[in-house]
Amino acid sequence: MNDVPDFVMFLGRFHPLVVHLPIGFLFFAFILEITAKFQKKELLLAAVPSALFFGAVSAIAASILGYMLSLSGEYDGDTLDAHFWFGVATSLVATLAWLLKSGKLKLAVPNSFKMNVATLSFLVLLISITGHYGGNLTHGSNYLTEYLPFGTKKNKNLPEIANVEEARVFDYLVAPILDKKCTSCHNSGKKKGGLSLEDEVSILKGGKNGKVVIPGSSTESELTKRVHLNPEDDNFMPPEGKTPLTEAEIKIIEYWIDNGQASFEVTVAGVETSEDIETLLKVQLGLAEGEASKLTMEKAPPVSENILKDLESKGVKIREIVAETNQLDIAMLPVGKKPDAETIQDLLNELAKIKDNIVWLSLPGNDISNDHLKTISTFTNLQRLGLEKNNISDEGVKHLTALEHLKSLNLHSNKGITDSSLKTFSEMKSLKNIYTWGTSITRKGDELEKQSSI
Amino acid sequence: MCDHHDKLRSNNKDLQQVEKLFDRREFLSKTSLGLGALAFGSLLNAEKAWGQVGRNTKPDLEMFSRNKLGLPHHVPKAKRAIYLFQSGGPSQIELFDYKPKLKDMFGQELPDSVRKGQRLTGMSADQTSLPIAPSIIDFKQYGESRAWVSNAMPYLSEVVDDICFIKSMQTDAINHDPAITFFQTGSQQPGRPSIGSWLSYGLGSDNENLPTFITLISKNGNGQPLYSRLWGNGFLPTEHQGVQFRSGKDPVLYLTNPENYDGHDRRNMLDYLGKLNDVQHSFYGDPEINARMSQYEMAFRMQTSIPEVTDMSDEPDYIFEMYGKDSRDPGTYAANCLLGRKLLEKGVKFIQLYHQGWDQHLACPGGVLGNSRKTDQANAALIKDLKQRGMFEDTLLIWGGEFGRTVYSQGKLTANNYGRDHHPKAFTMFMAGAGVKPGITYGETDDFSYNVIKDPVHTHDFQATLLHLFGIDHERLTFKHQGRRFRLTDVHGHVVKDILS
Repeated sequence: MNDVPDFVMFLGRFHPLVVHLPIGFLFFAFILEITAKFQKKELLLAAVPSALFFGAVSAIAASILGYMLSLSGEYDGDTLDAHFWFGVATSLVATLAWLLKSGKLKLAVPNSFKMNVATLSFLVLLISITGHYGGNLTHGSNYLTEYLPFGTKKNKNLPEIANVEEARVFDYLVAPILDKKCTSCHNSGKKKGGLSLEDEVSILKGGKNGKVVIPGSSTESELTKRVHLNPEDDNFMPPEGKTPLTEAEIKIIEYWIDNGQASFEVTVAGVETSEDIETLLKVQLGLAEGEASKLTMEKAPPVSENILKDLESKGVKIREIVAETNQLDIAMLPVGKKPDAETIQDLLNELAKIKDNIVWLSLPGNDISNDHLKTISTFTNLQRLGLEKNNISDEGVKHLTALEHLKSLNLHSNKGITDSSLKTFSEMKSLKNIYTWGTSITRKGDELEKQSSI
Repeated sequence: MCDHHDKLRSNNKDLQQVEKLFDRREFLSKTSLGLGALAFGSLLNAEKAWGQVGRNTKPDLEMFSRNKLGLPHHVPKAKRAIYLFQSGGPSQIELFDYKPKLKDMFGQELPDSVRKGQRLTGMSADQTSLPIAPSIIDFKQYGESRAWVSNAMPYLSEVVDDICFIKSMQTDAINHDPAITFFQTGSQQPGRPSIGSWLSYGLGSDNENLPTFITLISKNGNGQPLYSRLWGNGFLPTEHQGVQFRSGKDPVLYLTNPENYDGHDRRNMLDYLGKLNDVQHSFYGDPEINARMSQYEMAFRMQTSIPEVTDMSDEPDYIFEMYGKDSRDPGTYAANCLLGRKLLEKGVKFIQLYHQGWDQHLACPGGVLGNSRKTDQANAALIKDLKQRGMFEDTLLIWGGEFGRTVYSQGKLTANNYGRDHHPKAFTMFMAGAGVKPGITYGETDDFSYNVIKDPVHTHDFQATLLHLFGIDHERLTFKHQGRRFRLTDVHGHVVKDILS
């Protein structure tokens, strides 16, 4: 993808503009032919070859531009292929139609009205299909049907629940998985294999190979059998190209069939639920402080690249904690000579400009003293703060109570910190870990840990 | 292509492109068509119009750059790691995997129902009998976690509540070279990048003055050889290879200035060399030229940073005492653990430490006790030291070898002596620190410590978990080489979620 010159991309972006020309021209040719016949305006027929000519030329141009656009790699496989080939077919048929109509190509084809209308209808059909695929590429495949006035609405609004036990296994846990992974092919409109998984009745009915769910036995149920097959197998579900079920999703469906006897009414409380499954369910319902929620991070507002560049040039190491979140992990490790108090203050002032983005900050061994902490205490999004091997005393620690989100605080080897800071620590509610080795605090570490471990 | 002087051409695609620069045809077509193109080009803003999407430019150290690979994928637990590699294959049966039932089976034949026809190494396959050898080293339970640790590791038993033991490790290889290579690179065949190289490539450096990936080998262990490709960069850019620190006067070779050279014009020299290399790079486009330049620059910075970091004089006596008396002797396992901690403090991301000598084919109990004496105190001290410095919450510590050892005796079994052969199907490792559940034991083996009966953890699973702790989805950190996208875990590996805190 890297090899696409900008100029090609530049031209490619004209594709969405140019595509409308062949649509217009070819439709127009069709309308001319029809009106000429039915309103008896034979004169109009003289314009058909021109309309076809421009239609063909613009279709070819649109195809070429479309190909250029596709080189960007931003569009996905199957739909793109279909769009591409229908586009090519439209161009070819339009060219052929023009050649025939203008008499440039003489074949033993009668120049009858029926023949002309057949060709033109075919063209209109082709260009409509091409256009539909093009639309799907740009807007997504459900764009057209999303607000369809008839048909079933997908969003069954389930009341919110507070804990796992209340959840009806099918409605809350199984149905969302089926909706996500199965019903795009197995719905009342598009019953692949005669099977719809949209509602209770159709699930019980099964498909053309019989029942898909056998209560109490996931090993015999076609629904779960199919997802366990070798992905190479022709019978594997979902079919190639679709996202397979995750292990958690499979386990939940099996849990419903085996433990829940595939009942549509039963709640989690009424089913034997192992601990493992319960965590899975919680994650699925978004109730858990699950793995997922621990690993993701919200996006912070973007920061000026210039400030970041400037800081890096001063020896500050800046990283995003998670890529593209603008949540920053900032560290300045001591290198050679320690900076003086003023330099540090300047640096902190600089950091203050991006303070809302700093989540982790590490400034070990930089001769940081109490006054500097005034600035640091305004970095209210801080969760981890490393201030080990500095010159901080009890007075300075007090400033840190302003840091409401602080979870971890490293103060080791700051000799000036004494037992009187313990009270300050106890005021810092979110604090989980605090490191005070090498300070003048006399109480043992584990006592401290207990104190602040809640 | 239709060249008629194929014989003069290289088969290498990259070189062919370079050769084209000197081609007669190319010259003629460039001069004829080229003039027209030049005229047209000057009409447009040529640089921009024909520039390439996402064109590679030389990485500029002065510029702030976001991680180009989109890493980390999720919130990392570990910012750095130290991997205490126990080379040779430490015996899980003598150290952690307590099997009391073996006591009554002393000298009995290993049942076929346990071995299940597993292929043995050439060293014990010819034995007429495979007699069960229970451990003669006793075990006790320690800590709130009630973890079993043998008497060989008295210091470690004090910190079991900080440790996550994995007793169900499995690997594919049964011999040292492929097994170590497998652990370090995810493939038994040499040529893939080491774990540390992947991390360096993916996450970059935290301290420009030190290498991101450092290797330490203890001098007081000997046994199966180690080789630099274990910390090699494989197909990744060369600057991501591990840098080996040696014991003795020069921790890094060729870093000190030669005699009678004061080094004052070194900076000038490097600047001019850089310009020359730039010319070469713009002509040949070989990424290794960039790699070489960055290594020169790194070496230059290391001339000041290395003496600073390897200077042990600022360590107080009680720290040395904690790590044991060996720690005053540079190059020993204990000294390397201490040096490792100092390097971690300075922002080195991955330290690969090796201790050779765990290959107890003969005299297993004595060998295990001997190696434990050299390593046990330092292991425990490292954990305590990282804890007191607050580094334990974002530093990952890993202890383990390339495989375990057999329950049956290799060679003669006597009441107090026996040997053990290589065993890849079940062995113990431990992890501690960043993001790992403290005080748990994960996985179980059968009564013979031969087969895993619960929660197996394959080498690839371990590697996937390690990357996960660094915020990396192991399936998404790839490098395209020879037409294929490679991963540390190849096409395998599951994150062991149950040991994550």
